[in-house]
Amino acid sequence: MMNDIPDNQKKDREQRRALVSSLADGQLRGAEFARAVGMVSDSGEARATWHAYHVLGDVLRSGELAACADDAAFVARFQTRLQRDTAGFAPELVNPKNATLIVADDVYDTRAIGINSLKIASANESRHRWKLLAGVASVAAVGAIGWSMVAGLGGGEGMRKGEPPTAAQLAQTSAQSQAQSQSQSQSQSQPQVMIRDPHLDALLAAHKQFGGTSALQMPAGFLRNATFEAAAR
Amino acid sequence: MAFQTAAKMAFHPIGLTGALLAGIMLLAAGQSLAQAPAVVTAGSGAPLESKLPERTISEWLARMHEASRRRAYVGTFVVSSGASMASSKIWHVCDGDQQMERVEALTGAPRSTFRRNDQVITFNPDSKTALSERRESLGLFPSLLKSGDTAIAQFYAARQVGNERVAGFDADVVQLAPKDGLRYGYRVWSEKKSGLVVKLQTLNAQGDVLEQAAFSDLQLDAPVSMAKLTQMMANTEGYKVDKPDLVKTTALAEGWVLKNAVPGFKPMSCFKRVVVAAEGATPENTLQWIFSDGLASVSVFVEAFDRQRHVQAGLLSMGATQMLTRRLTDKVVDIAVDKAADKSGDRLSEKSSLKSSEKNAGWWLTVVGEVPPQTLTLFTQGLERKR
Repeated sequence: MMNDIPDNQKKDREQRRALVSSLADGQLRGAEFARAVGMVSDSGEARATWHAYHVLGDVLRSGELAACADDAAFVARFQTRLQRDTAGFAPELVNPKNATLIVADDVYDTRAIGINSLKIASANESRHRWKLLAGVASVAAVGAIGWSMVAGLGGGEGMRKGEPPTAAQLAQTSAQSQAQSQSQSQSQSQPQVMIRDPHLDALLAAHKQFGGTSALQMPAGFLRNATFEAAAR
Repeated sequence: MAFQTAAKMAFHPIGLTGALLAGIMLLAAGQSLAQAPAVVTAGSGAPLESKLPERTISEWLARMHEASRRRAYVGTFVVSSGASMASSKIWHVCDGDQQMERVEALTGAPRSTFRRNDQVITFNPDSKTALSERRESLGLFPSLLKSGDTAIAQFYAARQVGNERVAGFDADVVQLAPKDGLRYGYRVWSEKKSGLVVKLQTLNAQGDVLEQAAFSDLQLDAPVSMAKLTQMMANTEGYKVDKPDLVKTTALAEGWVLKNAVPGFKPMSCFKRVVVAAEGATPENTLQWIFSDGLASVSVFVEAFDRQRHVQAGLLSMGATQMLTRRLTDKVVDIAVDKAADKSGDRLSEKSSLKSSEKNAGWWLTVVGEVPPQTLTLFTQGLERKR
């Protein structure tokens, strides 16, 4: 008898989930509907299941709906993790005040980011999205995804000891390190972190305006820029 | 592994969703990767034209440039950068020394760009604003080649690699291969009779396509009326016409030198400009120093460091365009990047550099260009404050 209880509970839970699933799908009527609604109202677990099914459905329908609101627990865990993982970093970067600020500001973006990469692969969009390869932002704002890419900036051998490599060295080794960083950024087949920043877009526009100092500028470069330019202004 | 942990952490409240989302994202990344090789293989199989003497890179470039100066055309132009895609309708006409172009964006926010030689105006119908600017770089090119400047040939080699049809036209496929790792390569489709560039790819050292642009349809020698384009370009009625706030200067006058030149890249011009990131945002005074090796260009932006805004030191990438941001202090020490590069680094020296930087907040450096990341790194390392 004792052994039956967990089995029963398991079965029970599965039944409840099935019921919530049916409710979420709009398949229930009458008494069953009332029972399911009552269950979702009374049981925290059922409510969580209900929420999960909806998020699932939302994600399947449209990535933009996947951002969860009010996830204080996530923020708390993120901060704890951030503090642990960034131990030893320059204090300025991991100042809890900064971290709180960044997380609070970016918690939506952090999630929307993954969704962007989803969207971007399927949509025809000329909006600018910078792909973050490496750097502090990946630690602070999007630490969850960015960690493994930080090394991408480390680059060639000469950069380790704080003595900058000469141009000639870089030119020689760069093909190799380019290979590394490119293959790193492309073959990791993990979602790229996308960030959006109007200031970066403004600088990019400035670069395109005067920086198109290129023999290929005419005509292809100009057409390219005029076509691809974001409607930033 | 790191990512899996991260995904679990980020999406823990609904673990299943997190896993699902991660799966979709992996799929998406895989798809965008899968496209690249398909594009790369195109063009490699065609036979070489071994009988004809090979044109030099200067000859190829001059030919491509001349084509756009002599032919009128209408077409649809498609740009694909990273996973984004944009297209526009193009009208091009020329008349002696005058060249005019109309570019009507078909994707994104509606906008029309008109160009007469180096004069460019962009109309944004949504906001009823127009940006009028002189792009002096547009006029530079002919002199770049005519002066017998061999800089381009010193850093790139041209080789015809095949023949292909683009937008219904037979084209020579020309590979412009960099001679070192400080620049990207290009593959150019040049229409056989006129030389017009009908397709252009930017390639990294492995031959991956970072970005490409091509005519999807093209009508050469189309009847395009210059008078009509002129009239449309001049018709700014109902639009608020802005001009970029620019002051021409020199880097030296602003207190900056590039201590170690980056091979092949020459300073072209330098401006002080007001950058307004968004409507209502505080305008920022920014120095823009522009370099070019003849094919690729790099802009070095310097602004006063702002602790609030300048939190994202790092490397960013969008198609062929790379952007490197870092903080510069008098000691030219970048805490963030150095830290990332060397986790077991000497903390003592970093702390002391932090202290010194707090006395003088320093500068925020943004280097942008269609070049590999290591080229941008050289620019950040070579830049030095002279006063």
